[in-house]
Amino acid sequence: MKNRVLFQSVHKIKMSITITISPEAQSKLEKRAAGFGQDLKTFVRNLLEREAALESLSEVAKPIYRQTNESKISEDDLGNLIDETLAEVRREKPLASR
Amino acid sequence: MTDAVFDTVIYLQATLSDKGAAYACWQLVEKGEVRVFITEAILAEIEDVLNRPKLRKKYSVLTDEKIAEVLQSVRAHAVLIENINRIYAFERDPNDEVFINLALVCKAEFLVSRDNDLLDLRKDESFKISFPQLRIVSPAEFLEIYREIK
Repeated sequence: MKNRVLFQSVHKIKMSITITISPEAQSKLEKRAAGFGQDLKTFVRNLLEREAALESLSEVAKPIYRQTNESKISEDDLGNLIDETLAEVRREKPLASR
Repeated sequence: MTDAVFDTVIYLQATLSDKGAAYACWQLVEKGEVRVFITEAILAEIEDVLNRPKLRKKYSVLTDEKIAEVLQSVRAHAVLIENINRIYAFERDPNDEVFINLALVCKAEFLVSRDNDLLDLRKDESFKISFPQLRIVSPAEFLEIYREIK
């Protein structure tokens, strides 16, 4: 038997969708929602809205790209800078031991 | 969909430059053509590198908030794997072992890296025989192979 979660977007009530999830998933999600003091509907709606609000890395990193381009650093030199910095980090915290 | 594991450097280069092969590799992930697997440890390493004074000094826009946004975006586009079994022991560089085992656990077809320790594994006959399904490639090679198979 499957359980259904019905929710609506709170912002201007644009869309309602019905999804079907397993009882196990429902139980886990309800527990997680309760941990945030939310009911299942609110928890799932917030999850989806957070996902929708997420920007791609290419968008998020635009100001960084601008600085890289303005600095006129070559891709090879940037690669060397990354390698050196990563080596420093790994000397202090090896990835294998994290 | 093609499954892959990227090493830390690929994420970093794609975060700092929109010109190179690493950025093009990441674009395939954002377009949903490649599924990439990651761990919390790799995410933490990306964060630590972006937080280093050397980079923060060079990039005034690399604020705490921007780094958090970068990590959130990577996390949203990658598949987070929690437990990785140690299938392969890589004594030459135990740090690289993380990427190999992540790729093996996830049955990824590609491990994308420009690390010579990893790329040299392609010459290791015993590795090739043990794990024939895994191809270790540079970002440029990955793009070339991906174009051919698509």
